[in-house]
Amino acid sequence: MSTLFRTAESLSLRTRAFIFYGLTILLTLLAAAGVLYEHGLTLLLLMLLIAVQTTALFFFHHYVIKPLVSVHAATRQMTDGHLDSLVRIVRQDEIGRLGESINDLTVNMQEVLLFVWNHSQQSRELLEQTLERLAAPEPLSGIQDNLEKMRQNNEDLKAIVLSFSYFEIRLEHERMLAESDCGKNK
Amino acid sequence: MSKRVLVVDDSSMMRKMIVKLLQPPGHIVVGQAKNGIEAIQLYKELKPDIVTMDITMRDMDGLAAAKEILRHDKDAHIIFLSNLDEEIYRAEVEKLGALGFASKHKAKEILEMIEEEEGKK
Repeated sequence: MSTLFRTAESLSLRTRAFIFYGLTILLTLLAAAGVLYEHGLTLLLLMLLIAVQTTALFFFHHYVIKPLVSVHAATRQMTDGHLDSLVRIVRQDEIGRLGESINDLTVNMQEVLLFVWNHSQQSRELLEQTLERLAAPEPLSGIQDNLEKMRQNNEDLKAIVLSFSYFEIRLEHERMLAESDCGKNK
Repeated sequence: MSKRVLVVDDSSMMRKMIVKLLQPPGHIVVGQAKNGIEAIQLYKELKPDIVTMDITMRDMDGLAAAKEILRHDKDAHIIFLSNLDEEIYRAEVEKLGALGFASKHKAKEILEMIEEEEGKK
């Protein structure tokens, strides 16, 4: 019996929905037959039907509504810039996969921002070095090197931006263009 | 020489960038893992030449995964790629053995380290 419960845990929501649907139809038909033929089991069948429906309701609340609310809360956190909160759904079904995708989104967003931070930090250090060198009464050696590194940082930053595709925006090497004809006379 | 590489990072975008970095020199990405547990499993299945390992990951971080992979195969070549400041984590990495540590954002460093790892063999 416990193995039955365990396999029940790993079913997809779609499969579970079909099971509830199937049980409902079956019990309804049996109960109808029971009424037609005035069978004694009719009352039992009707009670079973109600039990199945009630279970379906609880199931829907616990496995669909509650997780959706928590997934929604997590995406709101992310929209507000809190990239540290994780969606805590550890299931293998459709909603579990949704939660996992949202976590992946959060991770990617964090990664991009940290990338920007890191490169900004490097450029900042190079700039400070360059300023120091310019202030000193020494030859301008090493400055070219620093500027070259800053240019490389700039390229790397643009590379990461280019790895995404954008809504209504097309990025060319030097410019940002609108995809559609917005604003132009049609 | 082209290597077979297992890329481990919890960000799918970072994995994409590392794959893009490794392809022009001709290296082959044999697999991608998004946490330490997958990394260990894929290492055992694929036996790559090199593993690029992110440090901060959910479920199991890179250092723990590296320890486990080294227990399984003490000749594993693991290069840690991270956002984190090298100095702080270099000590941890050294403790695990003479493996590589590179910044995720310095592409050249990563490629150089891969060439170097092969030379050490």
